[in-house]
Amino acid sequence: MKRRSLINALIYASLILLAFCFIAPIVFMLVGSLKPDARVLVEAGSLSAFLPEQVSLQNYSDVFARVSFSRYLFNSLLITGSIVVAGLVVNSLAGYAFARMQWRGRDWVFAMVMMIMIVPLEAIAVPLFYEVTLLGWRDTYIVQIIPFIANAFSIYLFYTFFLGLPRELEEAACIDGAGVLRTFITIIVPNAKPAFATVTILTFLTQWGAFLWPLMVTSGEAVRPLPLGIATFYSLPPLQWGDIFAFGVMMVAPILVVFLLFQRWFVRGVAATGIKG
Amino acid sequence: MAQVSFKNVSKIFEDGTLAASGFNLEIDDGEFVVLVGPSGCGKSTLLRILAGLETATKGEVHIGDELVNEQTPQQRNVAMVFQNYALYPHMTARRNLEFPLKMMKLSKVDIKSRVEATAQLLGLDELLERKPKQLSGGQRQRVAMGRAIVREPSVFLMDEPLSNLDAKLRVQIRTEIAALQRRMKTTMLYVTHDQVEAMTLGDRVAVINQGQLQQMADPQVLYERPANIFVAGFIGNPGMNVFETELLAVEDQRLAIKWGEQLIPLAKDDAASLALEEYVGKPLFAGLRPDAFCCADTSMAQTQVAVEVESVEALGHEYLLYFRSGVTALDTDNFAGLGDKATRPLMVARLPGSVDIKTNEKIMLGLMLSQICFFSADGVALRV
Amino acid sequence: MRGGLPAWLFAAPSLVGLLLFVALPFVLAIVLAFTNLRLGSPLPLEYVGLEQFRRLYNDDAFFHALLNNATFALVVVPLQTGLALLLALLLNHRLKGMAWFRTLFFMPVVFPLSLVAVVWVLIFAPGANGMMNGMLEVVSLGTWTPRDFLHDPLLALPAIMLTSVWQGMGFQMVIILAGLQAIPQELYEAAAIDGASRWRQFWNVTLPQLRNTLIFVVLVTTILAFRLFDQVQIMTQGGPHNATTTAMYEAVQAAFARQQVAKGSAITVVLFVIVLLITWLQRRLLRQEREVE
Repeated sequence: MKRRSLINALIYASLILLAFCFIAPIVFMLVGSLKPDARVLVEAGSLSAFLPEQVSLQNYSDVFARVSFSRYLFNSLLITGSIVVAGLVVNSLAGYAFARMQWRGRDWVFAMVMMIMIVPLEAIAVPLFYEVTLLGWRDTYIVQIIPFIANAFSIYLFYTFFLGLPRELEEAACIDGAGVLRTFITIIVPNAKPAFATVTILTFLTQWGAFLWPLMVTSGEAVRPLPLGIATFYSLPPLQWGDIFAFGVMMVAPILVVFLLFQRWFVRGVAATGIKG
Repeated sequence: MAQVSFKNVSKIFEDGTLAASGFNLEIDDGEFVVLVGPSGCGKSTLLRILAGLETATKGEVHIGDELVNEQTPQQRNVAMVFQNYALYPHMTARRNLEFPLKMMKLSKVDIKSRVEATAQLLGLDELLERKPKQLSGGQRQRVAMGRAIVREPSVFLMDEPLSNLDAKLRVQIRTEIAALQRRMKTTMLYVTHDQVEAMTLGDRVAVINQGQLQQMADPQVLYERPANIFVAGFIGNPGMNVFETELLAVEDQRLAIKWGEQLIPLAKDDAASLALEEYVGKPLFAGLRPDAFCCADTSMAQTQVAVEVESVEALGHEYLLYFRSGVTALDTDNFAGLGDKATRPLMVARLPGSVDIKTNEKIMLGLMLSQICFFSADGVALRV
Repeated sequence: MRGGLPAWLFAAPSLVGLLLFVALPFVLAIVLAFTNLRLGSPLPLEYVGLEQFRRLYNDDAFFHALLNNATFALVVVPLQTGLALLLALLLNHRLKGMAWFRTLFFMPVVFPLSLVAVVWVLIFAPGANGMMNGMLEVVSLGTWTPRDFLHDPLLALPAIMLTSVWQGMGFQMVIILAGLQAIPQELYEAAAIDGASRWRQFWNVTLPQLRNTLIFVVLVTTILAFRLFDQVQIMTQGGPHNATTTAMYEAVQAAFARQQVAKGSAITVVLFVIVLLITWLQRRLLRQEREVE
């Protein structure tokens, strides 16, 4: 037993050491956001980078004064929220159609969706940009929302999860007299929480951080999301690190909340959906 | 309340698997019929065709006077209990029971009263607010039954409903199901692979193999007069010993069968009642239940055969004796006609009490020939 | 069981979306790559055959970009996967507080890359005041001379790599952890009864059972390596002297800084072929595995 506890101590020691490396930049940012601007850079190389001497929320109010943070935040929430909600609906329906319904051409269409899954946004960004330019969609919300609702990877995740649900559930519902849509809504969806949580988190992460596409299709700050906000802010003289960090903390807070809310289901979802290969 | 009939039903799956071919079955109103057969014989598929979960490739299915081939499960008014119960995991037992009633658009008052009546009938009152995860296997099974009963369907379908329970509970719930069905008088179709369940539950039992009805009869008839070699081997535990032999005419107008080198004369009336004369000189199959053997020295023994013991299984009040003898048993599950040399299982006898017999010991066994069955070369039972 | 019209209705919304916003632009990319399209150009749009690809072949910056992508993949994929595997193995012990550590290590994943890039710019700040410089000075007992990481041709790419590993590792860790927890405990018990040491159990049970998960993780990271853009845009703008430029950075530069949509399309076609090859390779690896079984 002595050997056992020695091993445990070693495991904890290595975890704590690694945790420190991983958490340091986050603490650095959080602490920096509470310090006067000038001290952030000066103290970055010493231990006081992680210890604020005097705490002030000055940087946070500066952010609101210098850029329209609330505009960026609203844009990000609107865009990401719309994509997540609409995406959950259409992709789960499609995943269900592929997993559990018989229709002509299903396997063929599914193979196409699998092909599409490996096409990265980056590989189609330029022609997609050309396409939305022709549609006259530039500098709008919809150009940042509509193209990303349907998502092959989300469909795939739902598909694998639905395959794992016992078929008898639907058969029982069918015998009990429930139609296809009702079965889906009252029986399938409540039992697919891990899949919905996983897709929610993954979509939220991707879209909240979206940078390349908004950079391409928007110009003014009217419809631009937070990641462009921080890039703009970063290039906006004078370079005030405290303000930038305050911006960052506020930018990451919503997604942290989403993650902590859904984390329990997410871990289960990763195990139950096809992610782990 | 309804009678059920399958008329010439066939089912071929998309991958080409033949699950049923030319299947016919008539079930009376209020009757308890068990479909039994080895796994993969198509019995579950037939049940699912009746439920409306699968469509028949060919043939007609009737419930009551109606042709139901094109109807949805709800229109057919059938209820089904699944092997793994298929309770909705996110709903309490109460919500599970309510679900089919809500689909029938009953009023809240009706729903409540029917759910409570059913819960009382099955002793579920205390469990209604629990979710399936918080219930034991037996309780889940009961909720599943409740969900079927609460609809007051015209036909009950049960697909191996006891196979996930431990042996003791299985016997208990088996008795309950039988009592419930007698009380409710609802037509019931029950699928199982367990022939003990089939024999104890069914008014009539339908034995199915390779998608075809082998025999439909009440349990006693199945045991005593199997329609063919498959049924003979499938019903009974262990099943009937079936072996290839030859009929010969011996002196005194009697018939005898060959048991290796030995000739075993049949009693006069046996031969007469089976009208076996036309088979004299031709090869055929004979079958003896394990119970047709007895100790050589008892008065029941009409004749004796020499056997070499392979193994003994003691069961307390009786024992099973596996042996080799002048004839070898046939693999009844995979009957391949005369001269089949594929698999040769041991012969088996069931004898009362307990004995001290060793492997490879050579002993004499008595035979009670009144229980002998005969089958033609293509495996069909010979009858008058 | 059920199908026909309802099934099509279920699938239609997302199929239309994929068709319009993935399939169509993808086809468009292939078409445009064979033209001379340049937004706002007075020249008429015409078919130029393989001209764009021929130019790319001779384009020094694009050559550097692909080289950087490949270097990035070769370093980051093993580093990140190895680290993720190590952490997952540590976290797979049933000890107190493991859920806490898991959340902690996953935390960087929720940080948008743009924010991560900005924070790490400061970590890599030049001079003795920079955090990385300061830390290295302590570790090297004062022998480290402060460097300007992001403007040093040798150190800029490694700095971006480190940033990316920090951000991406947690995601792989969660996936590998799920894979680890799916390994039946009986296999370890059987191995222990057969007298296998911990080390041998790892090689003979854990790794083979984890094989598909690891292949998946490696595939995804490799593809991500070829899609690298955000960090480069914010931290170095491809510099110094193309030391950190990537295929995607070149494509965006071409299409937006210089309006050369055709060139941008040609780059994305090359990118897609690379991704396709990686995926195909993974499929082959997985198939071999199944045949062995």
